[in-house]
Amino acid sequence: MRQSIAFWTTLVAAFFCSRAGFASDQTALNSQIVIIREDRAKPAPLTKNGTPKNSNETLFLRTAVKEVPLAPSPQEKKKPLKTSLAAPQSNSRKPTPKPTKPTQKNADTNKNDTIKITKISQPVSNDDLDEYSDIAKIADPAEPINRCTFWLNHQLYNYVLRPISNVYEFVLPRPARNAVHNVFDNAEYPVRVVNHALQFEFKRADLETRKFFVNSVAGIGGILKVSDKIPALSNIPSADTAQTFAKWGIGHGAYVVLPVLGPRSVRDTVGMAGDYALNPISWLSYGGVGGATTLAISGPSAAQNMNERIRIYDSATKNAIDPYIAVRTGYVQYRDQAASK
Amino acid sequence: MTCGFSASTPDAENSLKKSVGEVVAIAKDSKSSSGLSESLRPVLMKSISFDAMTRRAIGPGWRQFTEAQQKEATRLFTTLIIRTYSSKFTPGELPEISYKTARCPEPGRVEIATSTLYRGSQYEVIYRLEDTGGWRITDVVIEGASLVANYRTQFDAAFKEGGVDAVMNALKKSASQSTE
Repeated sequence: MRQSIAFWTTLVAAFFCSRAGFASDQTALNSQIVIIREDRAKPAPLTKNGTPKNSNETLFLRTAVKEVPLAPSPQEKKKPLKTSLAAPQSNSRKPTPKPTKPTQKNADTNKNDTIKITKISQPVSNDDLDEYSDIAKIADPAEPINRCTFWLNHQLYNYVLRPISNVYEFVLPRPARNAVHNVFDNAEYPVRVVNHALQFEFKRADLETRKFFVNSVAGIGGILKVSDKIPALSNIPSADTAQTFAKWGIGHGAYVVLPVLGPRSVRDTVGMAGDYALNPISWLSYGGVGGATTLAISGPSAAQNMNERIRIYDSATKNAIDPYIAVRTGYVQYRDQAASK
Repeated sequence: MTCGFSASTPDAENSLKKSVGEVVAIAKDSKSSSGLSESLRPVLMKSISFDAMTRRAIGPGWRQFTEAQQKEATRLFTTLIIRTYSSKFTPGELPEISYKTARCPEPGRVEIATSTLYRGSQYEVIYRLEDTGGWRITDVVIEGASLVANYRTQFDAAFKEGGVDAVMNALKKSASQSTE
């Protein structure tokens, strides 16, 4: 009997001890796990079953929240921020988070604040990511084929088009080359004016029209680019059909490398057809002028374009880690910027 | 306007104009493009923050580099950047640069847009500078294409494929290639 009482006493004591231990562990755990709310680390509202029902809070270990002084040292002046998530590595380099636009007032009044959270959605938020974390991207489902075409184009540029381009540069001095470029650029006025209108940029369409008349009349048929001397007309953003599609909200679509022509997105390839239809030089083919004559007329423009394209191509690829990716990224960045103007 | 921690936006503009002026003066006197990158190196070393450029171009993988690898990567990437920047110039062809109003996206950072007329074409070039005890260039964005972001996508692909070793090998290979 006595043994039985002792046994049950022990059992009950063990139960309560375990409960007390659990409670103690639970308290310790609660103090170690935090949530981030209103830029501050707060103890997580854990229950014995874990997170409260319907809770979608992200939990962090308190040790993972690291203090960053508000007043940076002279060597690390740039990042006046607050708190980041501690880097898991033992690397001596400390992560410096991107500031969340602190005002001067905040910087002055909150100098003693140490716990303030910045990028909570990013497990690793630091200087390495910075503004480049959101790099322009494009789907490239046909990458193996595109790389193959890219390689073929590379051979074509280097062994066929570059010599032609060099000859063109040798035969025609720079003023003559500029004149050729100006004439063809002026003739492409319909492409720009129609697309400005389609983008509801009527002011630009108006300026483009003035530029066309100034260069056609005062610039002797567009040979001289007189508009460069007029501030209002010297820097009108360009417009093409693919840019219009972009402004209408049509995405890039897949990335394609076209033989000879090089990188395009599907959107830009379709846009190119629109530009062709709006380009007066291409109208010659439909106006009784033979294909060979049209080609002869557009030849200098093609050579001028080729010349510039090869220069840009060299600049993008010569010091690249992966020329294919360098050209793809450069192309998407360039087109995104053109569409944002 | 105060944009830096100690310096102001006009300081950043003056610093950029001075650096670009020196670069243009060297490019003007240069006889060939082959020696241009070495002639420009001293000016670029003091005007550009190559540490920040390398760190950001490599991205999150940077923290997996040892200190020695970080130094080596910075040295190699510096060579690439100097070559890339120098290749934009053709000896004898000088750019006409007009500076626009500087923008201060956040304290310690300034973006200065320029309109550059070069070889008969207009280019929009944005210089990004940071105050690191003096204003230094951390990125150059030509017609929307950021130098650092462009390299970032290339390093990202190399890093995903083979980690630190792949990035270091790619850097060594590119830096050792002839510029001609």
